[in-house]
Amino acid sequence: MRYLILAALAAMSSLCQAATGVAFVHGTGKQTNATADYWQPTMVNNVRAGLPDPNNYVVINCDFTKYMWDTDAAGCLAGQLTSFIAAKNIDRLIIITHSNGGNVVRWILSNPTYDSRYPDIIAKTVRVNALAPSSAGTPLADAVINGNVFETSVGWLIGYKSDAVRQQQQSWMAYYNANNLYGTSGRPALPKTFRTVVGTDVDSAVWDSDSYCGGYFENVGLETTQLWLNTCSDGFLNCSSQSAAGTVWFQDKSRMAGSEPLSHNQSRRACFGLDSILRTDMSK
Amino acid sequence: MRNQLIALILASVSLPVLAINSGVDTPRRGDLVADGLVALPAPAGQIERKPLSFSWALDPNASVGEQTPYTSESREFWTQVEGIELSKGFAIDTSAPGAVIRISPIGKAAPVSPDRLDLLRDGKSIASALAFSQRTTAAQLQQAGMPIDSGAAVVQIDAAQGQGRFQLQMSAANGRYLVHVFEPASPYVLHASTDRANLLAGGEVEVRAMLGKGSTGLAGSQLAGLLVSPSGKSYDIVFKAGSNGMQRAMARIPVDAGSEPGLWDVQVFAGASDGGGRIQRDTRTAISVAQPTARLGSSYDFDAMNLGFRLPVQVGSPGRYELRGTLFATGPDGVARPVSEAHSAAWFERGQRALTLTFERAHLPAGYGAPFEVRQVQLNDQSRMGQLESRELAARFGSPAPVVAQLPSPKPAVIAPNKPGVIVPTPGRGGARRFDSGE
Repeated sequence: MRYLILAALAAMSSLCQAATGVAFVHGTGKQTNATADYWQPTMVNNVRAGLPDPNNYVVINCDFTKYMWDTDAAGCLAGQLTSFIAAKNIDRLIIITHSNGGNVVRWILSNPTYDSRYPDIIAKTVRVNALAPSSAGTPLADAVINGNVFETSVGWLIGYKSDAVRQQQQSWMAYYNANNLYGTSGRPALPKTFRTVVGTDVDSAVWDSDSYCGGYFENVGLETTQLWLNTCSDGFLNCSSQSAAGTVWFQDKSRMAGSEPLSHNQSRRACFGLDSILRTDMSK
Repeated sequence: MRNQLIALILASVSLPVLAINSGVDTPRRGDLVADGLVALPAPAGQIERKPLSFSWALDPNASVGEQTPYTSESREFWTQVEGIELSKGFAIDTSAPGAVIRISPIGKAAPVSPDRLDLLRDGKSIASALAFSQRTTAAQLQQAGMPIDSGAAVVQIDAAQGQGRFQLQMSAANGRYLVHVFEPASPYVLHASTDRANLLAGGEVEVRAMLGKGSTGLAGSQLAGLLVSPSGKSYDIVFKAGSNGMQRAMARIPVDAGSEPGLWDVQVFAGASDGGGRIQRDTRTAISVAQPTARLGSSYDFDAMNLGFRLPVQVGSPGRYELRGTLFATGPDGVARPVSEAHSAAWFERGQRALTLTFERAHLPAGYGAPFEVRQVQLNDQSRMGQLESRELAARFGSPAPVVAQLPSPKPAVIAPNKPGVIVPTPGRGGARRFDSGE
């Protein structure tokens, strides 16, 4: 009986010491101050405020112009997550990703034996909230890369596109989803929950104040990029790509204030209550 | 408790009997198998050296199956134009209203401003306000996340202008330009696919492509193609006309293909005339090419107690190799479903090695047991990012089952509930034997 009591106390003690943390993982690009340049402080601060200890957060700054498995991409992410987990004694990690950040995290979840830091990250992860992940690539990557169809003769003329852009061509993501990544249709599930927030449309009317959330100028171009996309898109990704891996947590209009859509730039910003939903999720 | 102890003892007694050694299933259509191995130097870079294993449970109700190669679709094409031609008016045939045109300066050509583009029809200028429904700068598109080149611009021909031949004019054009025409509403589509997504150096891939209107191939379509390595080295693809407008080409991968990261592109260009206009389309799809640095052996060991699946690996080149596979177990209804995913990787020097997939018995849902199958098996070269071998079905076991004298024989077709750590052989359906858990 005494052993039972001791065991129960130990379990309770363990629960008391449990620390939940959140990691913000940016999308394509090389970030050195993602808080200011990618997410903006309002988004980060509002979300982490939902944690039992709001200091248990990390904003990742890595080079996601590289292939997802690259030392500077998933390797850098693994290093920063491992340091964060150790420094804060995190045993419940919630990861928030945006865009191609979802692919880098999915690489870690799908390839646990690639790097000895991956298994512990996976073990500590309770879920990934993937905001507009480019899980099946984007026709926009095809459009800009296909300009390099003349690459062998005049490639230098058109300029080099980053490996991350090459990777997000639809045919390339189809390959990686079928061979190196999990969570898409007909493939084994990921070892941890990967749920997505899907942006379905873009508002960029100059008279509509909603167009200004996240930056009006950033939304204007999305009206044109939508020309390459399906009716259901966030201006950068088709809904089908955002929904290709894991499970759909919700589509923007079903949860956003005023049933507003989330453009691809707005789904990483404190727009229409997205930050509140994520904040509430921190305590679950 | 007493029963559990007895069962554990019995299970441990039966362990040697439950270790199975057998041959890997014969490769099937679509499987990737190396004929020989190459000896390459150890790859450079930061590569993990620790042996690692990992597994996780799968939901048996979520299907896992063979993946079909990607089929690309294109309603767009790219071409180059000299500045002098663009300054006079470059002819563009459109097959649907609302064509989107992107113009990018090449090298030191003058940058393009969407406000300085004019649209003509039959040599007559269309009023600026009526010509384009969208005019977007490179900066706006870059802000939107589309990494187009600085100095480029995108316009969309107003749908009210209809389709047919237009001339795009930029008076200040100077140098050479890349013109990209995308027709989102066009019925003319170029489809392209390959018969396989993974190849080894020296292998051959079939490329299939069709320029069609709807599902009908356009008569007289001219197709050409390029196979382009990640480093930009290209090889011609020559198509032959087939039935229903489908054209096919066989492309051989060079034996000395490099191991640089990234996929190979299969680029296809098509042209035809229809309805008095020119139809042009370009597309591409991707394949993976690897040097055969290792391959699986022809036999396996299966430890039924620990659900361990050990495969020999012949290593031709030093590197880090990963084995992954999905365990299918038989459910109460006799249907095999995915229950566990396992990976195992290690750094190996040349020689005979082995990797073991350890599927945890705790991953077996209640009522699931033998016969087991290991499917979706891949051998990957993690250090060179290449797939070396794949087997849709590598092994099936559970027959014939060993007889453990100490245990009563369960009735046929009755599957005992699973208990982790305890294995009892029982007869399976159709005369096959299955391993099940039970007390």
